[in-house]
Amino acid sequence: MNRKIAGVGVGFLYFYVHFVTEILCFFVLSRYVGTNTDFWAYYLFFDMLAFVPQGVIGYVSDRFPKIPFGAVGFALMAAAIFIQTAVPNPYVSLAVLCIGNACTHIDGAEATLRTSRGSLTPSAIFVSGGAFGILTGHLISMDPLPWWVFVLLAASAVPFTILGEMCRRDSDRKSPVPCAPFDLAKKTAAPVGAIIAMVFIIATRGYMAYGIPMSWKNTVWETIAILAVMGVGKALGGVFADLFGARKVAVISAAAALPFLLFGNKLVAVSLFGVMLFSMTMSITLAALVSVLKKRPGLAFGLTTIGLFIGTAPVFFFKFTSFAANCIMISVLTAVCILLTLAVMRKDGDPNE
Amino acid sequence: MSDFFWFAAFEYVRMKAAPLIATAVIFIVFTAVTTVLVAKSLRERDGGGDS
Repeated sequence: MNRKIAGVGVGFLYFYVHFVTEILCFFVLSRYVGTNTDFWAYYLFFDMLAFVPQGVIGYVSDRFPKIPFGAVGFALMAAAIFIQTAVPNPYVSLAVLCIGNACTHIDGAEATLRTSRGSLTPSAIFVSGGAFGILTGHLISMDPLPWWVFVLLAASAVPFTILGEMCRRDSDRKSPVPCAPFDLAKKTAAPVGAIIAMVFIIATRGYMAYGIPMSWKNTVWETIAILAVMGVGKALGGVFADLFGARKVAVISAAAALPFLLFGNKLVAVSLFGVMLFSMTMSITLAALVSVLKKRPGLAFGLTTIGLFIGTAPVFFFKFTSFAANCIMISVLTAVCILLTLAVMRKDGDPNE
Repeated sequence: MSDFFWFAAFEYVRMKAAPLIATAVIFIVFTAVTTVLVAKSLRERDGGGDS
């Protein structure tokens, strides 16, 4: 029990780390907004280079756990702030920022998954920090602060990563495979099939998120409300999965979100509740991937971010614009995701044989 | 006219196409490497290999 509580503590350490990471990224990215018509290309480049290399970085972190990826990540992100003022080509600072972002994410995933003893709550708390970081970045961008504030913010998160890495090493010492308690994927399902199904679910839900009908969303404050409920939903998904069973929560939250998303086009509260339910599966898909790659939690986390990029990249080029098309797309993809979840994840409480 | 055409073409490639091509190439390389690493990890898992 105490070690489980320690795992939740690590979740909160990395909640802050994730929170600061997203604020720093928002700060650097927001300096390119404005009259710049190429902002979408910067954003696409950022999404790609922050998300896709996490598989490789995660694998390196799995193999070489002594590398302090958290501190390295914040050093790179602080360097990106300086590079932004010194080098005119925006892609240089963005590339450094992205790799820093990827490093802190991998560090958080490793620490929360390895110290949690199969519990989903710590990684869910860690993941939810990102939504609150973007939310705060939005608020800060309304009245921009000087660059040195952000460098100090980066420095403030380093002790958190050091403490988190100490917990991770302690967990690695106590158990040869700290992620062995993760057991959500059916043993009868082919591992490759389970991985492809989970990455597909993450990608389709990433794409769906941009198609949710929200004609009520017109102001920054409404965007902030969405980010806040997304953060709460991500955290609650992990907590509920631990309390009631991961498969049950994944299926019920996806199915229950559908009517709220479809009928919330003009109703703020209904739509926000749907978004909260929709966000709950995030940590569950991660834990299912870790169940297949127990010795490689960093690599498993990297697969989730690759799935997210695959899902969000098409939005830069193609979006359904009609309300009916969006509703059909969301309904069909939700049904496919639920069927895949039932096919790949073991029934809660049943022995996995 | 010809000079302007080549200048415009060069600017278009520099500003629009190059970042997109670079993004696509980096995506393909990292995804391919990750796929290889996943295959390697699954092989190790099934063989009960390294820790």
